[in-house]
Amino acid sequence: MREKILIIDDEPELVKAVQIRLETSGYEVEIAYDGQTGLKKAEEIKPDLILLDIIIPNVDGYEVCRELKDNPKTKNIPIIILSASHQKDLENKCKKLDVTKIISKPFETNDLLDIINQTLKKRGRDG
Amino acid sequence: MPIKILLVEDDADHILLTKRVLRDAGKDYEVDSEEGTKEALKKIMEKHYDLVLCDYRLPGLTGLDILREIKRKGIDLPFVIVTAAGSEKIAVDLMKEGAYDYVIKDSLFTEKLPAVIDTTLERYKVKKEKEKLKEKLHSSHVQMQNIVQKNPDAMVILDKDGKILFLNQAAGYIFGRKKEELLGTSFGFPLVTTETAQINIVRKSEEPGIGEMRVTTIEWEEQPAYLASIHDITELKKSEALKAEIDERMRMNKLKDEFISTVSHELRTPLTTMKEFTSIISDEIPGKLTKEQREYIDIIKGNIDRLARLINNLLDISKIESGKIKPQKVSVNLINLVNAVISELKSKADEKHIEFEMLFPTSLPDVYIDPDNIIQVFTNLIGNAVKFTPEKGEIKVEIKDKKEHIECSVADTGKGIARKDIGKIFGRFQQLGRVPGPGAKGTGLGLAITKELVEMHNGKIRVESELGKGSKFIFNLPKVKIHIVLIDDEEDLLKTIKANLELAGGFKVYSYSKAEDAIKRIPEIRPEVIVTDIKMPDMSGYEVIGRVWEYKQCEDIPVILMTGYSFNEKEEDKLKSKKIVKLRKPFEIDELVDKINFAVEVKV
Repeated sequence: MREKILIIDDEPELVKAVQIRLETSGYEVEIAYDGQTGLKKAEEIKPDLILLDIIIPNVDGYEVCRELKDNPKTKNIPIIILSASHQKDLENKCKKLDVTKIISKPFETNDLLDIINQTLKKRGRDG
Repeated sequence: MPIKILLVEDDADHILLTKRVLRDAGKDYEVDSEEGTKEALKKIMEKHYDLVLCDYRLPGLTGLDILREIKRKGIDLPFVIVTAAGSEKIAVDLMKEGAYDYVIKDSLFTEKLPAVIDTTLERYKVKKEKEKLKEKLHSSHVQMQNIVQKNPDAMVILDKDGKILFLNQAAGYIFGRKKEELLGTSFGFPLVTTETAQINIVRKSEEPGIGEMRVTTIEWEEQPAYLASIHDITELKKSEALKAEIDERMRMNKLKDEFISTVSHELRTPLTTMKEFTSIISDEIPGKLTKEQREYIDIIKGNIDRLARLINNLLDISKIESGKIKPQKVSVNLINLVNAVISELKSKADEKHIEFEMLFPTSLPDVYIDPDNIIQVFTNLIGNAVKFTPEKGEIKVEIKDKKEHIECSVADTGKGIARKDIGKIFGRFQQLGRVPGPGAKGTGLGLAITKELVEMHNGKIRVESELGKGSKFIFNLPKVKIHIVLIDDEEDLLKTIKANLELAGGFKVYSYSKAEDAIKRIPEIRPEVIVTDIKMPDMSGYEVIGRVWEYKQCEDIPVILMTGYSFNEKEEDKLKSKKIVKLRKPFEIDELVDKINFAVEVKV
């Protein structure tokens, strides 16, 4: 079965680019353009991984992350933060959050794919 | 104490009589008699008498002459004149000249003399007391005068019409004129007693300023008056203005930072989309590319990356400027760090067949740095070297252990920097190495950031270069100053102390939860200080000390003993206590740092 990745990001064009990449690489992609929808979808479809932007409508990325980790149904889903903020700022702000990786935009596509691949492999092993 | 009386008299009978009268008076009189006037005067000068009893008519001089001579010498002494009957006028004259009293040689002499002496002595006593009191009053007046005159604040007394009645020295300074010139003139400022007022002041021999004036009503020479006190607040005002300026500047800087941070965020977002679609096209996901299309797409990709680098560097510079980047220093093995950077850049160097020469010492003490910052420094310098070194060139990365610090250098075999440009190399947007034609373009900020980052580590960076031969960038990094072995069986506490110490500065901490493990490693680590808990399951802190000091090469290592319980004095006495420093748990990390510094100094 193809692994499912949920993208939570409010930039439809960027989401589309990432979606093309991920689907070409064999993943199934689900999309949410705001925090609330993201939380709902995460619970419904139980993705294998979430790509999460920080500055998104209604519920911001930090809060989404906290709620996902508080919810027993979603707390084991690995989260990769994908944000256009400065890497160091992000690292400081995400210190207390249990995220798998922080990637600052723009990123190298291959790096992103490698990280997703590794995270899912590790999850497969652990789970 | 006997009362000493000098009797100046030439009549032997009268001397006898007087002495008898005084003896019979029942007081402790000690009477000395003298006939000669010169001798009498000499005695008065030399000896201390409480009273002089002087006959008026004497051979050679009169009693008046003696009295005058005494006064002339500045001696104040009860002086009683003795005159013959019928000479009362003389007696009165003498009293005008300063005699205290007189006695007449008549039938009442024997009766009167003791009483006259008594009252004279009493009068003298009262007079002296009065003088003392007056003196006291005077000195307290001088004191008050001093307080008022030397008060650094100006004090001005004004009558009800605002005319100046009195002013102190500071007032002269505040109004820039002499006291004498101001007395009697009109003050010119409204006198309001209910609130403080700020007034313009002249300030002698300085630029004009501002004074804060308070006014109160007083009584001056029995008339209602005002007392104005003026405090020079010019400097205070200046520093307030300066503070406001600094606040404003900080606010502007914050705005600027926020602006740059927002703009860079806004720029990165579309850039990411561009980059992603470009790479999708470049990877031919939508379809095959022609040779030309491939070439153009690569140009777009290169420019997107360049823009991204520029945004990152701008943000870095802005953060460094605003002091937002504070190095999170820890002890780091520099060789591993540099190797990691080189392997990151290896593929780019390989494309140009550039050889790396690494000159690292076999063992290197740790450096005390923020690894992220220093990775950036090496990435910039080695990245530049790769960029500017021609095909088949060579890059030499060298690390040297200098006494005070670690010196690092990156040398390339590029085209070098012209002498006139060396001073500009670390400036912003100075792309001196800009080469025409294809290839990755720099942002012009890399070396400026590198310099800032090195300086944030109290280091210095410089460049040596020769046109046509290459450039060498040399910089230094601080060493870890103190190595500590930390032993505590509580693992959480161990981790916390280690992390805090390494953040506190200059410390490399080797932590052990089992004392036995620590003791095995200590001779090899040779720490400057050992920090150990006392109560541990495998052995006590005291035992640790004993065992460590058994090693010949470790017998000088000071130990800090920590405990939440009490110290065991008996155990301490067995050890040489001067090398032991005690610390009670719980403690603040600063306390431990102080103790460590103290312990290390004691060892020296």
